[in-house]
Amino acid sequence: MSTDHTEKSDEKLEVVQPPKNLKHLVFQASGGGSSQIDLEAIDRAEKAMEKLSVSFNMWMEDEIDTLREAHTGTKKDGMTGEARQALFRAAHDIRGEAGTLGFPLVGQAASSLADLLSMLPDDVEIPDALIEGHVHAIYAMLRENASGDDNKTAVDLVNCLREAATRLLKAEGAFDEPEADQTEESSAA
Amino acid sequence: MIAAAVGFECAESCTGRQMEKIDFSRISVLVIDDNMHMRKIVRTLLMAFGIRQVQEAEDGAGGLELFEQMNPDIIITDWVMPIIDGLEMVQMIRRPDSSINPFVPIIMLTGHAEKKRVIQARDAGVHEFLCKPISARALYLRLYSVIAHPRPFVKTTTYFGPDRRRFANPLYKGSERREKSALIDFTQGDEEPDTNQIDFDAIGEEPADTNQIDFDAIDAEPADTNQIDFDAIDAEPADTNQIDFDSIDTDEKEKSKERVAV
Repeated sequence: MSTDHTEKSDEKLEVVQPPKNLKHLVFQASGGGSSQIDLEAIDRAEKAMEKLSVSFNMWMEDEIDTLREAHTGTKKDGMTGEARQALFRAAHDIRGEAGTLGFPLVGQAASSLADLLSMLPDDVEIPDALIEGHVHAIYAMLRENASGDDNKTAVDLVNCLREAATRLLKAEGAFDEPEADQTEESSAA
Repeated sequence: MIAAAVGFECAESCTGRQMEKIDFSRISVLVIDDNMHMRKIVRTLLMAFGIRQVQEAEDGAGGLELFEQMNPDIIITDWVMPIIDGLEMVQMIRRPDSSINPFVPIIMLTGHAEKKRVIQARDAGVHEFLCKPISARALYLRLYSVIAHPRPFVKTTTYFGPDRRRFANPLYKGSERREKSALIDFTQGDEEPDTNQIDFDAIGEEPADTNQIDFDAIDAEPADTNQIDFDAIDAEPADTNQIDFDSIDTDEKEKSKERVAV
């Protein structure tokens, strides 16, 4: 590994070349490459995901069971400590997974719930109705198979929950205003 | 676009329109995620890409153990995990005095999309940030980025990890390039001209057919964004990983200012 030392007035800086270069592994093996994105590999992966998708509804139900259990835990032990963390983790998992599993609206509701639980300190009381609203909306959307934006009721419900959550986060000073260009970025897609 | 301001840029920007085809068969990957389903999804995608050696761990502690056993070429890790989370694990791996391979490329795959999280991940030494939900294409591009565009590592008293600026800007004069970029990012509605922007039509694929937040994340929320097509503010020609050494330590010293600016 090679290094380059740069000494400035108050901080020593070292630039180090990583000893292992993965390029050598992959490009030697492929004989130099074809200067193209490997659409075939991506296509293969998408097809593999399609095959896997027969399990997605069942997986989603597993996640909802975890959420239900965690929610029961907070009702029993209060919205603090490990019970709160368990509910956050359940919501956060759904936030990350639901889109891939074909339930983006469920993911959005879970994201709103996860934000409430992670962005507000423990001593801020989150209204039970708001938590219940999120949890039951998630149950309902899965039950009704509300998987896309074509389900207007589900979209309205998610927007309503998000709005209520945002209002509370703002009131508690825990909400960062979206940056001006965020909408542009979103629409750029 | 915003991602560039904090040092993460999309693989498209790094690579331009054309990418060399990669044979992944000799690459080993360690996947760390406490969610069994997500591990299965990632493994499925990796194997479809041609990666044969995929190991899994379900938390940070198990991840560290497997890391030491298998010394993988690439790590893909979740953030939120019990006991040792993904960020803590990255920090442990990036300890040059005790880690078996502090240079290992790390892709953070997480449901977090807030800007502060991306900055935290970058400052812990993560190479790429991929926001869930995951797609085949987004994962492929992150893998491509860490393989085809390895970055030198920077070691200071406060940081050890890949250089957080991917491109040199030979025209830039001044000391606070990243801060300037960040300010541009959030104060100008118009996008910067981006010569590295990938033309998705050219590769025969639409960018946004899913809820994929395809980015090196930032503060866009999964709830209201589809795939983010952000441009690299300070992106330079894609075929170079040249470093702007003059401003490296400025970056280190100005980090606190930068956080405010970003």
